[in-house]
Amino acid sequence: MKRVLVIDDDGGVRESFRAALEDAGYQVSTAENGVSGIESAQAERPDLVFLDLKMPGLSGVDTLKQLQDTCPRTPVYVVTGFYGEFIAPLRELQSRGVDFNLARKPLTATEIKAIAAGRIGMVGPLPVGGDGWTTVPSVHS
Amino acid sequence: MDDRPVGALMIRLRLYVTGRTVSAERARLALRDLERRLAHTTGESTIHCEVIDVLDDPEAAERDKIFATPTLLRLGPGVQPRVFGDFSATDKVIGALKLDTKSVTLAATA
Repeated sequence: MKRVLVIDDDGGVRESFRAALEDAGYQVSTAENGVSGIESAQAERPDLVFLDLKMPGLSGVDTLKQLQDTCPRTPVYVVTGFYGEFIAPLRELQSRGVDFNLARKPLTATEIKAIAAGRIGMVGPLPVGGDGWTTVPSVHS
Repeated sequence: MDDRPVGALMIRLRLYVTGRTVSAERARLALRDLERRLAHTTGESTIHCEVIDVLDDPEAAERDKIFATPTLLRLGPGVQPRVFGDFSATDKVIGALKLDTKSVTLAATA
């Protein structure tokens, strides 16, 4: 069973991710802040992490750094607007070798499923996108 | 001077990545493999590839409605087919972007 961890301080967002991913057959755990997110990641060793950047307490950027240290092989999708205050710290992180990809907020359920399928492989049916996009599921998970 | 064969279709691909992370480099490599494969079947002069780093050009990602990296899209009029996921699966990427020889030939002669 493929496991996905969602770290976001917004309860509605966590539940949207949970609904989409469980519908696609993934096992989902959630965390409402960076500290509990890192604890969950260490305990459960998820196959994929979705991480919000804008969180109180331990920032999303610092959470990402610690996730890279504790679970270096776990792919992380940073979910954020593509603009704004996080571009500079994200650039600094990637220049230090922190591996992550970006996903644009807000994500639809289909897009969430596509990211999971593309990154860690499918469990359920292939997500079908609109606007001409196709998911090619990972075979390397 | 345009040295493409008469009737040849220009294939324009745009890859969106996040920086020079391991994932981004993997996607870049996959694009190069795809380009080599397409050049073999359609000719080098028909293919133009570009890579955009979302951290450098977030506006371009917004214009192209990119929801996550890496995403590979084929530019052109109308709906632009795009692929998200495992680009090492070259045959599937070619199919999804309608880059198989039959589709390209049909488009060139339309």
